[in-house]
Amino acid sequence: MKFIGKNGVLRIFDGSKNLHGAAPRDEATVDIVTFDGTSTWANITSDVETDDAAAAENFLADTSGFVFIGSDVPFSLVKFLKGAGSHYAVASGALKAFYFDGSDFATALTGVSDGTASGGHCFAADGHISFKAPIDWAIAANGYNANLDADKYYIALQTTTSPSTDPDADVLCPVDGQYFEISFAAMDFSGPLGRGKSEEVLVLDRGNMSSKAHYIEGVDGKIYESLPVAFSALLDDVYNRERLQDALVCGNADDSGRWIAAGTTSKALTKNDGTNLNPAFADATKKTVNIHWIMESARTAGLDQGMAYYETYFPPSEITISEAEDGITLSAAGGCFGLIERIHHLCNRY
Amino acid sequence: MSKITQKKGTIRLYDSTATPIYLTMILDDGFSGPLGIPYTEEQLVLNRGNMDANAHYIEGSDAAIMEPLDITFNMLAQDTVFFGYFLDWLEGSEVHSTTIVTTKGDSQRDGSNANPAFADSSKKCCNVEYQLDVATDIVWHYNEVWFDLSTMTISEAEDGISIAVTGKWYGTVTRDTALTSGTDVTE
Repeated sequence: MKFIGKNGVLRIFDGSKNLHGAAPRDEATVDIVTFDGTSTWANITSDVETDDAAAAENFLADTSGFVFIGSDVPFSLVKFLKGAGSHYAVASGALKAFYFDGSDFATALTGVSDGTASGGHCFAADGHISFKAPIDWAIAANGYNANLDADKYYIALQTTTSPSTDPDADVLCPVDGQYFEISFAAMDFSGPLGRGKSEEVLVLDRGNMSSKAHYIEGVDGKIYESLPVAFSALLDDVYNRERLQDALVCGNADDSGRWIAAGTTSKALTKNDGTNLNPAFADATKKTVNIHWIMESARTAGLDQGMAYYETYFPPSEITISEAEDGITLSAAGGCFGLIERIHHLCNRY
Repeated sequence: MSKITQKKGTIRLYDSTATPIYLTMILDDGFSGPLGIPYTEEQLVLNRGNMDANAHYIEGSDAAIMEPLDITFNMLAQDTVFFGYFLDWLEGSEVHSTTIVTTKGDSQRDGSNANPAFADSSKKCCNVEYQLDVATDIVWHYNEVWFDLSTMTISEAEDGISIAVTGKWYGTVTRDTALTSGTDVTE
């Protein structure tokens, strides 16, 4: 019943946004389908899965229509690019977003941020839509409608107003970072459960506790403090060899798999205060990564529990190597500067 | 007569709903908390540094009374729905579709004035009750406990994942013989 070390998975993500279905995230297969709200279904995957000359025109025509975006790998980010298309949406209203929970698409996604919005209207600009990957996100949506695949995780997007000009999409596809999954982890990961909040400073009337006593909020500095994250792993001559060190400093882990190019820093992609993007480092050579650690449920899909530590910096001086008779251990101690949140799926949200 | 061990312990978290919502901890141990609230400092005043009949104490600021103290216990991460409820509670989120009402301001540390509310209303307090299940139960009710997620560490090991739970206790503590009745949030 309790989770043990065997349940754990530890990944290092960079801050890049790569299309599902294309390297380095070509382990994923996508499926994008539109429904006009009446009877017509259309598969637009080939038009919107890459930035090329093909585009899906008028993919959302009125408020009863849906665009279903699916991938066989869970995701939290969708890229929208008009590109070769002719029109952004005009007067489309706010975005509505739902997910398949095993029964239907009636449940709204939470934590939705619409980077395609302009003037309060969705799909009015190029950008990314992000959301929190739900704990009860389910596959087998073919049971809902045969036009959807059995092995994909789907979300459904809608406009709140029938657009006066319907949007076109060159790209409308899940994206995610490059990642390196740590092998031979020593099962000793540790990190905080969340980010700190500002201090509550008690104000008393001449040192007397009375009905005039109240708290004032301290400076925001505490919200931005670096919080410790640490783990270690055994070095081997194939998987961790040089790649683990490269991934920790957001270099080029080049594992010929999910991390094949120089990493993109994840710094300044999250908002600790919920409003303002965290600042970039003064020294641009310091690159941060995102650490995702999850405990996979042995009981039921949907009970996976984990934590994501965004904007985590591992100073090279805090990455140590220690020799012992039975193995060489690489220990990494980093500081998390970004958002810390619970996750149920391994994917970047920012 | 026999000494009491941690086998007899139960920890519950309560909210401030009229009929309080509660969550009973599972796979927890190691509870630690103070038995009473702090008092003001006694500051000795001497006559030119001499101890004589003029020496006396004055009372320090009431701030000492209001200082939060730590309550701690350990929790094992579990492959259950309960564990999700526990994390939801710590975060101040909805628990099992139930809104948790903060207990901040529900007690009086100084005995006469309600403790002030937090300036940041997103910080939610709860009450923590620790019961020792013996012939006549011993229960301590700790009011107004805030869990600062940044001070709580989740630590992985081969044989289990543990969370060191630390709460800042702002309210009062009372000794009792029974846990507060209420509604189990898991039901």
